[in-house]
Order: sequence, then C-alpha cells, then structure tokens
Amino acid sequence: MTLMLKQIFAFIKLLNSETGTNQIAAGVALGFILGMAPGFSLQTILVLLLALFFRVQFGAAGLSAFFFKFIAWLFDPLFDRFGRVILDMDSLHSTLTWAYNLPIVPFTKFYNSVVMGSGVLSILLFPLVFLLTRMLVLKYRELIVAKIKDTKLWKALKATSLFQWYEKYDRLY
Amino acid sequence: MTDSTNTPPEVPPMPDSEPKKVQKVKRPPGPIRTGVVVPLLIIGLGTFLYFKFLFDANLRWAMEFAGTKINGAQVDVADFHSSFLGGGFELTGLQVTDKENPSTNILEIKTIAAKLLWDGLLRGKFVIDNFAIKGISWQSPRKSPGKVLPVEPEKPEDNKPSAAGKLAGEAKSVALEEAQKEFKGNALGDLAAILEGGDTKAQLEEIRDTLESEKFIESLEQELTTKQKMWEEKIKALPTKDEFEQTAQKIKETKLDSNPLQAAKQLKDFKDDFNKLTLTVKTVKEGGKEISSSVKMLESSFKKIDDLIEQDLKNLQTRFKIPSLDTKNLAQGLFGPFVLAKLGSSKKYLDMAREYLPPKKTAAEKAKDELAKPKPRPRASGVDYRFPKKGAYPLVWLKNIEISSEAPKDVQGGTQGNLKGQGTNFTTDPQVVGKPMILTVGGNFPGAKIYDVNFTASLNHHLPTPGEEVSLSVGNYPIDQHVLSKSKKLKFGIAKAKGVMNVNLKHSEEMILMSMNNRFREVEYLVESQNKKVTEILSSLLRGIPLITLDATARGTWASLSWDFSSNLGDELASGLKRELNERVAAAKEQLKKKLDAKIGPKRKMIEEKYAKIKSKLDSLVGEREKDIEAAKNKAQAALDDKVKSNTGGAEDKGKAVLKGLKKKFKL
Repeated sequence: MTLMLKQIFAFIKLLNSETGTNQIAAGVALGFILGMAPGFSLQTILVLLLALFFRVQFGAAGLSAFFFKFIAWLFDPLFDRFGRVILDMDSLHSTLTWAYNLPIVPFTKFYNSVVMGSGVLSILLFPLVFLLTRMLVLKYRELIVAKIKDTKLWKALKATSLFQWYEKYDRLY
Repeated sequence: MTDSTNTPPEVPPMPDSEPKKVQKVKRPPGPIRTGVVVPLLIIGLGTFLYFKFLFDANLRWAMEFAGTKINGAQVDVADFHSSFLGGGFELTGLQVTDKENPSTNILEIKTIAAKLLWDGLLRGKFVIDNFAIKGISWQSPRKSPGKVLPVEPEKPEDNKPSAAGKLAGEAKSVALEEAQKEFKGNALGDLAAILEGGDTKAQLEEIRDTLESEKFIESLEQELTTKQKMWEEKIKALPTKDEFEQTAQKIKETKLDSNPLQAAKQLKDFKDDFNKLTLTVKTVKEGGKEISSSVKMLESSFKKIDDLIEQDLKNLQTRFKIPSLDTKNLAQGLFGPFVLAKLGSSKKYLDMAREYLPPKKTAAEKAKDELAKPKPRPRASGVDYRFPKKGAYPLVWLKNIEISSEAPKDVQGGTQGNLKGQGTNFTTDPQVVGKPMILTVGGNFPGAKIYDVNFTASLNHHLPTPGEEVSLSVGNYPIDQHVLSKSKKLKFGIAKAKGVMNVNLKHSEEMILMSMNNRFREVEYLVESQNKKVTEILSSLLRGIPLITLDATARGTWASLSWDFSSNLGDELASGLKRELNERVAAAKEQLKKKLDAKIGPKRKMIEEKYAKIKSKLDSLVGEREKDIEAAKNKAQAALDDKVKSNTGGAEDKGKAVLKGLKKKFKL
C-alpha cells in the first residue's frame, strides 16, 4: 500500500513537472490494457513486466488500470462479440489450434471470447490512448499548471521556509 | 523506481570566485529501468534457495499435519523429495496410524513416486510419465504407538452420507434388490420340510383367502343372474301366437263376396296379412337364435375357471413352499446370493469409473466434429473455446502406474498380499489420448491362503461406444463355513473347500454380460438339521459330490438382469432328492389340489348347474314360443288355403254350370 501511495505521489509530482510526458502516457496506456483484461492471465504478467523493465510511470499505470477496471464491464458484451468473431474465424482455426496446443500460450486464456476481444481491442487502442494521454498531459501543464504557478498564493507558498526545506529534501533524496 | 521518473536534479549555480571543478553531469535516464534487475535477482535467488532447502521439509510437515487432522491419528512421512527441474517427487515411509489401535498402521506405503512431464505442465496439463506406489501394506506394526487426536463431537451435517457412500447406496439398484429377494438363501429349507414328511398337514393349512377362481365364479354368478332376467324379458317381448289365431279366425269368419273381383281383392288382403305374420315368425326365430348364442358365449367363461384354478394351484404351491426340483432354480437358490454380492460390488466400481474417467458422451461423428470444430462452453462472462487435437495432452494423464504391496513373511490371515500391478493411460479425457485405460494386478495373499490372483480391467472410454471389461481369476482360495441355505429346518452349505474362480464382466451401453465359473474341490459339506432323516439323506447324497461346479451368467441392463445358473450341485441334489421327494411332493400337490377342489368345487358345481338350468329354461321357452307360433302360422295358412280353395272352387263350378247351360242351349 505504501509503495502504491508512493507511486501515486510520484505520478502527481511528475504530472505537475515539465518532464516525463511520455512515461505518463505509456503508463496510462499500459494501465488501459491491464484494466480491460478480465481476471489474471499470462498477458497481465507480461504487461506488468513491461511496466517494470521500461521506464514507464508505475503510478500512472496503476491508477489507469484501477480506473479502467471499473468501467471495463460496460464493454464486456462488445469484447465478447469481437472475441467470438476472431475465435470463430475459419482462416484462423489452424493457427488457434496450433497456439492452443503450444506450451505456455494457453495460460494467456486467449481461447476465451472476452479475453481475446479485450486483448485485441486494447492492444489496437494502445497507441491511441498513448497519444491522447500525451496530448492531455501537455494541455494540462500548459493551461492549468502554468496558471497555478503564476498565482500569488503559489509564489507565497514557494517563498516559505517549509517549502524551501521540502525542495532541498527532495533534491537530496 | 520512483526516483527514476523524477526530473533530474537541478545543478546549483556556482560562485565565479571559487575554482571550477569538473562536474559530472548526470545523464537523463534511458528508457530501460536497469535498477530493477538486482532486486529481481535477489527475489529469484531467495525463491531458489527456499525451494532448494526448505520447501520439501515444509511440504512434508504440511502433509503430516493435514493427514493427521483428516485421519484423526498420527500420519508420518519419513522423507519427501521434490525436483522442480525433474518435475517429480518421491515420498517415502508413509505411515497412517490406526486410530482404533495406535500401535499398528491402517496403511503403510514404502514409496510413492511420480514424474510429471514439463512439456505437459507448460500447457497446463498434468501428464505423469510414471506413478509408482510400492510396498503397500495394511495393519503393519508401528515402532512406537501413534498419537490419536481427541474425538470432536459430530456436527449435524456430518451425518450426511459421503459421496462414496451415496454412490454405493445408489449402486444397489432396484433390480439387484429384487434379485436378492428372489435368491433368498433358503433353497433347501422347503425341501427339507417336505423331506421330513411329518408336518405337511401343518404346512398345507386351510385356504382361507379368497382365490382368483373363486372371485371369478362369484362374478360369473352375478352376471348369469343379470343376463337371465334380460333374456327372459327378450323372450317375453317376442311376438305371440295370438296374432296368428286372430288372423286365422278373421279369414274363417269372413265371407267372400259374390263378385269375383271383390272376392279376389279380399283374398289378396288375407294373403298380405299372412305374409306380415310370416315375417314375425322370422323375428321370433332370430330372437331365439340370438339368445341361444348369448347363452353359449358364457360357456367360454367356464373354461376360464379351469385356467384360474390352475393358476391358483401354482400360487398356492409357492405360498405353501412346495418345492420345485428344477435344477436351474435349485442352483440359483443356492448360489444366487454368492454371485449377487460380487456383481453388486462391481457395479459400484463401474459407476465410479464412468464418473471420474468419463467416456465419450456423443456418437463417433459428433466426436469427430468436436475435434474438428471449436466447441464453446458457456461461462459467467465470455465463452471458452476448445481447440483440441488428437495426440495432445489431456488435463490429467497417468501414463504408467506401478503398484506393489508386500505381506510380512509370517502373516496369518488378514488382507495383506504380495501384489504387483500396473495401470496405463488413466486420464480425464480418454478420447484425446485415444487409448484404453488398463489396470492389471496380480499376486497372492499368503495370509488368507489366496493364490494366483489376476485382475484385469480395461476401460474402453476412448471408443465411440464406451465399455468396460473386467476379469478376475483366482487360482486357489479357501472357503470356510459358507452357508448356502439356511432355514429353521435345515442349514446347508460348504464347511470347507478350495475354490478356483474366473469372473468376466463386460459392460457397454448399459448392457451387462457377466459370466462366472467356479470350481470347488475337496469339499466338506455342512448339513445341520434337527431331523436325523434329513441329515442322513442329504449326507449320503453329498458324499457322491466331491467337486462342485458353479457357472453363472447375467445379462441385460442393471434395471433388468436375466440370470442363468448351472451347478452340478443343483443337478445332483435335484436328481438325488427326486427319488426321495417326488412322491411326497406329488402327494403334497395332490393334497393341495383336493383342498382347492373342496373350496372351489361346490361353487363351481353350483354355477354350472345354475347355468344348465337357465340354459334349459331358456331353450324350452324359445322352443315353445317357436313351436306355438309355427302351429298358429299353420292354422292361419290352412284357413287361408281353405278360403282360396273355396273361392276358386265356386268360380269353377259356376263356370262349369254356365258352360253346361250353353252346351244344352246350343245342343252341342
């Protein structure tokens, strides 16, 4: 829990800074894939490993997964239908049979219509979510953060010794 | 992780007066989080070390703890060794304490070893290349008494039958229960009663119940009374002779008109009336015939009385236990319970095999389609598709099972045996494996003096028509005190013998075919009767039967099994007892027949007499009515003839007189 909270604070800090736009966008996009997947399967681990190995904002990924998990059920009928279309394709039958009987691959639960539908759709939408998030972060920084930083309240707060002390602490640690 | 995502620390401005130092400018971090490698390596190493040094010991403790809780007494595991890379484990020295007798083990297994294929595990399937259970023994002594857990009070829901108990209960099908009643284990008791000869009178007690034939006679009597009234009314309704007499009288009394034309018209009217009456005669005759045939119809009912009496006689024979000396029945009565016990237990295991090792549920074509096409399986959200192919791994597959048990050398009695067994291709999805599941076990039970035991079970659940074949052969087994027939009069059985047995059972599409061949040699019989005569007769008969053969077959469905027994014991007993018993059985039957005749005879006589009386009365009434009407008709006919004659005769005379007058006038 502490680790997660730390990640969320880091995310807020990064969101309000001037860097890490791509990291936030990638985190949200990966969180989108995690959130849309029903249950826990091999691709969930794969996405988590990606988030772990690449410098993706973990807090953004966690928050995004949490958010999309809550609304994913609304799209379940769509995922189910889309998954069935793919799994019923005659042209894919031999490939799916081959994959079904491969080692490890069945742990992805690709043979489930909702998993297949949500997996394919979320991967297809990944670049779109990434770009959209990136654009929104930039707009946020430009329109909201810059304005807040111009306010007298913010400047007064920045001049306090407590803030100075915090900035120093943050820089050192 | 968190730091890496922060902005790089800003470098504070240095005063110009101070000498310039070479500053290391921190490069912005790359896209790969290198810092995560070390923690992951540490976690991986820790996991490896745990599984290398602690996992086996922890699992062994967990098994002992859980086993003790389940068994209610101490369970020991001497050693447990698992291999992650090898995909196998080996458990040695499993001892399950008998909670009733803590100084012995209820079960002891020297080794349990299994090796799973990684190839299967990576596909989420449990393919066990070799599964061995070696050194099984029962009731073996423990080095030190095992700890017994205090008994907890039973909860109400614990009283519910277990799954196995429920299955065993269901296995006692209606058909088997019926058969158990049929083979009541009292085959010689009734024979003994007759053999004694003293109390047949008591056995053939008075027939107090109402018999079927008796009921039928009573109903026939009622029917006869009702019909008698109906017939009499019909006879009454028939036309009488009065109408004929009135017509005859009318013809006689009527004077014909002098005018020939009028006279002819009158005669024509008379003839018409007569013809109408002739039709009435026909009606009377037809009515009479109808009544006669209706009466005759009842005669067939009298024949039915004979059939019912015959049936009553048979029923009474069964009820009064007048025995049959039919060899098949005798063999069935003697050995039925013995065979049934074996079949009942095999049904339980066949049911279990069908439940846990399911055969193909559809026809061959459907099975092919199932393999060729994905089959959706509905679930709470989404649908799971299957893409199986022949030769793929099923969920669980025990390719090879080895079982062995050892009995102590000095074992006496009990069920400990030197057994070796092998099983192949036990799986949850036999269609995918495409091979039969075969289990063979062979060995000896020296303590119980049972030798050359061979058991083979072949579960062909991979075929389009699933089936099971089971065979068991025992080369030598002892029989002690096996009672074949027990009643108050006689206890009969085998006191001691050595047996050889072969049992084969085939089960396919709910059809069962079971055959059992037994040979009992060196037989010492058990004959116990209060009556010395019975003992002597049977003992002398049995001295000539040193070997017993028993062949039994059962075929049909579990709901309806047809049995066929043959045994030389049945044949020999039947032929031997026939000499002694035939006369007595015949006498008993005759006595029963007399009793039946005494009960039914008078009633039958009464009904027959009543019928004869009614028939004769009706015949007489119909005859008289026909006779009378015939006489009246003749009378009317005569009157009509006279009238016609008188009319035609007058005309002729008149004609002749006129002709004569004319001849005279013209002097011819």
